[in-house]
Order: sequence, then structure tokens, then C-alpha cells
Amino acid sequence: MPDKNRNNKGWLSGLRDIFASVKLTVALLLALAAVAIIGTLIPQNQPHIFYITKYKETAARLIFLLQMDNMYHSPWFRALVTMLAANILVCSITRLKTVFKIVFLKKPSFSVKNFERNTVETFPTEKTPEDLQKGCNDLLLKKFHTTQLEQADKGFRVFAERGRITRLGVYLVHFAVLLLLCGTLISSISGFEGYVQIPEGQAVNSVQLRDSDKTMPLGFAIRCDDFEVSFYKSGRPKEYRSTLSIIEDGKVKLTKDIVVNRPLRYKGFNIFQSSYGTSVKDVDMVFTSKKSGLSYHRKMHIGDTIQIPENLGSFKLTDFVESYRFMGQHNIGPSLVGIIARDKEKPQMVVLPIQFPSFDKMRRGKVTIAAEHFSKAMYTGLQVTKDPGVPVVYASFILIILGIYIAFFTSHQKFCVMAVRIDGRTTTVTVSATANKNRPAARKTAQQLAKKIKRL
Amino acid sequence: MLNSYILSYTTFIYGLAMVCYMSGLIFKSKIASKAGTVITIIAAVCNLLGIIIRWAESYKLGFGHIPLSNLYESLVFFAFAVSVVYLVFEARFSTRAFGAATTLFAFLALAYASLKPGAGQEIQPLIPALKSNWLTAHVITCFLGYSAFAIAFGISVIYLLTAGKDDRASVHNKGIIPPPETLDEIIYQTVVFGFFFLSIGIITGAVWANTAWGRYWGWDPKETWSLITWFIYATLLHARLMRGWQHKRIAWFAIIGFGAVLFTYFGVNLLPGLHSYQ
Ligand code: HEM
Repeated sequence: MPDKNRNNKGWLSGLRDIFASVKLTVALLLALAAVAIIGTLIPQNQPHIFYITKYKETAARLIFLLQMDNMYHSPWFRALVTMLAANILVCSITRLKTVFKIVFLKKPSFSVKNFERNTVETFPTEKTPEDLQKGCNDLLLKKFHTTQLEQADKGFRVFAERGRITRLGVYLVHFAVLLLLCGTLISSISGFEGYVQIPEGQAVNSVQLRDSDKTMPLGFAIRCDDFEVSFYKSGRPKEYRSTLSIIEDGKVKLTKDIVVNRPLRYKGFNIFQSSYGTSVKDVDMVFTSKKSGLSYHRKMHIGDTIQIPENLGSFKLTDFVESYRFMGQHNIGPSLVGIIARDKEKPQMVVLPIQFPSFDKMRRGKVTIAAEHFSKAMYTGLQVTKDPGVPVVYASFILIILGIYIAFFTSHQKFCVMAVRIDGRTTTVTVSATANKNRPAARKTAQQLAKKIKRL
Repeated sequence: MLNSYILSYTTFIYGLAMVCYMSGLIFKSKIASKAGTVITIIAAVCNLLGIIIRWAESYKLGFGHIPLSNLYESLVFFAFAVSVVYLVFEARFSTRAFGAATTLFAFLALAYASLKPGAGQEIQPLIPALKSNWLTAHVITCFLGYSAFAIAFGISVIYLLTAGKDDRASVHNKGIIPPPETLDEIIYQTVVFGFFFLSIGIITGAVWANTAWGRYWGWDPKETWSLITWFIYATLLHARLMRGWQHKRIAWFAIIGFGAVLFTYFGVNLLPGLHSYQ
């Protein structure tokens, strides 16, 4: 059944033709541009409630359905990128076959015809072709590594060429774009981005992952020995500087100052100065039981949980907030935030403004909590990342620049110098040049050649 | 300060150059066009002088840095870059047809820089994130790219205005505006030049982001828009090289591309992100 056979073949090669076509490239690039535009118009990675309040209900639903709130990680954005990659790959491979034949030719062929319409200079000279032949040949040999001498009717022709390899520039760009995509894939699979706040004098051994509430153990500890911020006279920040120590197996492995743009790198982890602020070092908490009227003092750090006596439940000190907006409105100044929990009862959030020690009475709980003596400390905010994709991405960057340079600013140029004795007395020398692109550059070289030949 | 004086005078020199180029076009006078070139060279020199003096003055204030750190300084550099890139292409193609459009850009950039309140005319010390040599490389290459795209835009407008009018006694014949084929070639070459520098600009920006924040790409609106711009010009180049698109379609493409450039530069500040110059 020949028909069916053709169909089968048609299906596969049809697919290949689609992916080898620049029409698809144009469509994909424009589609990616359009998708990226949408991604900048709709704020990304906000909590669901943000979209529900900002947009109409149907619009919000559409946003969630199409994952437009996380556009650049959505399956269909990835599908577009994958198709672009397939497009580049198939297109390049298909064309490379023919390009290789040109580039890796053992003996290049020059055809006189190609030069006929590309004469750059013609001039008469009294020297005979025999006089000129060696000079011209040597001249071209010195400048080009591929030349070819040919006897012509009443004279000779020398051909030369250069830049054959530059025909591969385009494919270098395409290969580099694929490499870039591989690099970003590695980054997204095995890289991570975390954040941690370390009060001066303290150490941490894990970081909070960005865009998720997981923590990531580092395998070593980062201690903040010192943090300093300096300002210009105008009040603009001048420099944030953290002195960090890396502690592994109980030993200080290294101590270094970091500032913005000069991170610390350790075992593939990069530690960046990102922000700073003040937090509490320790607080004296006072728990007053309503029933007995007794007060209990406890020293706490952020993150600590204690059991309140008289079986009044547990209290976890979760946060320090520089200026807390109570009910989202009134600024009640620096405040501590905690959670009180008793079995069976719903855990309750407690806000403890430093300036108003009896604020918690308003809650009318079985226990009143207040923060007394409280010492502040600067903390440094560090971005901690690990990204094995970076070397690959950087390599692709270099190759992309190199490839674009080769593809656009260099060319495969061919030259021909011909000398013929027309009558008994004068010889006509013709210098011609062709190139696959950027002809003017080739013509300029030909002019220089002509100048040198005149001086022979 | 001295640099602001020089730069505001430079604005008017660009204006004068534009008038000369315009007269050259309108009255088909080669002398006027030539005067345009000379005045543009003078303006570019003054522009560079202003930049250098501003640089020196920042050192006198005690926080020296290359003047590429805010909207004002980037506009001043843009004016300089666009005139230098233009002069190179003018020499290369021996035509002054798009001088008026280019000097108009330089004029507008400088005028906007001085008139927009809060553009940052007074020299400010650098905030920590901007202290990086990658920033310098990033801004210079991006603006060289933008300059070339601005010129491509100018020529495209001229192209669309003049091409197709099959009036053989038209401007083309008088040698004032080159034939459509040449215009087309200039559009292509300026786009290629711009694409090369935009690519380096995006890449140096990514490297800078990686040294400052530990990530080379974060889909910040300005990053994203520069990528959109890159996609548009990549499309233009492929359409032209492989599908043989030319002339009007390419001209329209160059205009749309420049729209994306403008949005990357100004429009993005309407969206929240790291890059918005205050
Ligand atoms: C974002 C991705 C891409 C980039 C940055 C890119 C870049 C380039 C560059 C710089 C050139 C050089 C033009 C010249 O010859 O002067 C080029 C040419 C070309 N591109 Fe791409 N390209 C991309 C994607 C693609 C895809 C997906 C295809 C697949 C169909 C493709 C097909 C071609 C072809 C056929 C050429 C001309 C090659 C030749 O002259 O023989 N490109 N591209």
C-alpha cells in the first residue's frame, strides 16, 4: 500500500518540517513575548487573596486556571520554551548538514563566474603577467591560508578565501541558546534561594526557602559577628557590612566581611547581603494569671516556646515587628507577636506592644502577657543561594556573544586577482571580491590588495 | 554645577543641529546638512565633556562614581551614545537623511533630563546595590543598543513616509534621501548593531544581578521587558534573513521594537520592581 507508506513518512517528515521552519520560530518568539508581557501586567506570585480582591471573580478564576499568577513557571510557558528549543535544534541540525559540506571541504572550489560581477578594481600595468604572478601569489599566501593559482588565457588567476568557519557562527548562537536553556533547567531543578535573618552574635544552620515555607539545612552554621550600616550625609544608605563566620564541625572555617555586590562563597553556597533591621535579643516576659493574680517572669528569645504555669497553656514568641499596625490601622509601635495555645482551645495570636504594657488585658484571657526589659540587636538579612546552573549559564553567555559577533560581523570572503595581457604592451589586473554577507568589508580588503599589487 | 550648565547648552546645540538637518531635507540643501554634521560633532563633544566634568565633580563631592546611576545620567549618556552611533552610520552610508531624527532624539533626551523633576540632576552618592563594575558595563551596552534601535526607528519612519511614493522626481532622486534599498539596509544594520549590544547588555545585567542578589534572572519587569525587546528584534532578524521580509514590514517591526525599548526604559517604572529609578 504505497499510499499508506507515504502517509506515514509524511507524518514524521511533516513534523520535522514544522520544527525546522523559521515560521514557527517567528510565531514562538512572538508568543513568548506576548506571554511575558502578560506576566509583567499581572503581579506575580502573590497570595490567592490578592487576585480575588483585585480582579473580578471570573478574571481571578481565569488567572488561577491558566496559572497567570506564576506565569513563568506555568506548564504552558514551559511548553513554549521547549518548543523553541526543539525548533532551534531541528532547524540547526537540518541546515548543519549542508553547511558542514561547505565549511569542511578539503579543496575549496572557486568559480570565475561568481567574481565576474564583483570587480572591485581594474587597472593597467606595463609588467607582464609572468612578472606579476609570483608577487601576487606570495602576497595572497601571506594574507590567506587558502589560495589557488590557475593559468588563464594569456595570464593567470589567483583565488583566495578566508572566514569559511564563520558560517558556523549562527549555529554557535543557536547551540549557546540551547546551552542557556539547559543551564536554567539545572538551576531550577537543583538550585535554591533562601533567606535568613541573623541577629548580631548569633548563628544559624538553616535558611528559609523563598516562595515556600520549608527550611533548608545548610550543613554548616553562619554566625554574624558584627553588622554595620553607614549613611551618607543626605541620609541615603552608603554601605551594609556584615562580618560573617562559617562554622563547620565546631570550628570556624572562615571569617569574611560581605557587602552588597561582594558575597561570600562557601562550598557552592553564595551568601549575599540583602537587608538589615533590628530585632530583639532577649525579653523578660511577664505572665499574670487572672485567677491567682500571681505573676511569672520568663526570659525568652524569638522562636522560643514555654509552658505557662497553672496549666494556662503554652506560649510561643514568634516575631518582633518594628512598627505594628493593629487591626491593619493604628501604628502601635514596636511590638512582639506570639501565639498562645491551650489544649482543645483554638490557638490565639497575641500582640504585645512594648510601649503599652497593659495592652494584653484587652484580650480578656485567662492570662495576661506583657513584655518587660527588652534588649534590641541589629540583625543582618542574608540571601543564601546555591545554583549549580550558573557555570553553564555563564558559558552560554560567552558563547552567545561570541556567536552573535561571528554571525553578524564576520563573513566568508573570497577574492580573485586576475592578470591578462590584452595586447603586446599592457596587462590588465582585476581584483574582485565576494562574501556571503557584509560585502563592503570584503571590497575594502580587495582595494588594499589592489594597492599592494600596484606597488609590486 | 558646571556639568549641568554644559549639558543644558548642549541641548540647544543638538537643537541647532536638528534645524540644520531639517533645512537640508526641506530645502534640499547639502550645505545645511553638512553644517548639521559639524554641529552634531560639536554637540557630542560638549556632551562628552559634560559627562567627564560631572564625573570629576562627583569625586570632588567625595563619592566619585561614573555618571550612569540615575535617570538624568542615563539620559545624558543616551544623548551622547545616539549621536556617536549616528555619526558612525552617517559616515558609513554617506547620507545625512536621518540626522534630523537622531538629533531630535538627543535633544529630547537632554531636554527631558533637565526638565523632569526628580530625574536626579544633582549628583547623588551611590546606594550599595549600584556599586558594581557590571553596572557600568550593563548601562553602557544597553544604551548603545537603544541608540541603534532609536536610529533604526527614525529611518523606519522616514522610510514609511517616503517609500512607495513612486514620484521619480522625489527626494530620492535629488540624493537627499537614499533609495529605499539603502534605507532598508541601514535599518537592518542598525538593528544588528543594536541587537548585539542589547544581548551584551542583558547578559551583563544578569551577571550583575547574580553578584548583587544571587540570581541571574528574576523575571523582574525591567528584565522581562528587555527580554521581550530582544525577542522582537530576534524575530525581525529571522524574518528578514530567512523569510526575506524587507521594506515596509521590517520598518514596522523596527518601530514596534523601539516601542518595546521605550517601555523597557520608561514604562516599566510604572510597574513595581528593582530597576525603577526613583
Ligand atoms: C531565541 C533564540 C534564537 C536566537 C537568539 C537566534 C539567533 C540567530 C542569529 C544571531 C542568527 C544570525 C543571522 C545571520 O546569519 O546573520 C540566526 C540565524 C538563523 N536562525 Fe536563529 N536564533 C534563535 C532561534 C532560532 C530558531 C528556533 C530557529 C529555527 C528554525 C532559527 C533559525 C535560524 C536560521 C535558519 C538562521 C539563518 C542561518 C543561516 O544563515 O544559514 N533560529 N539566529
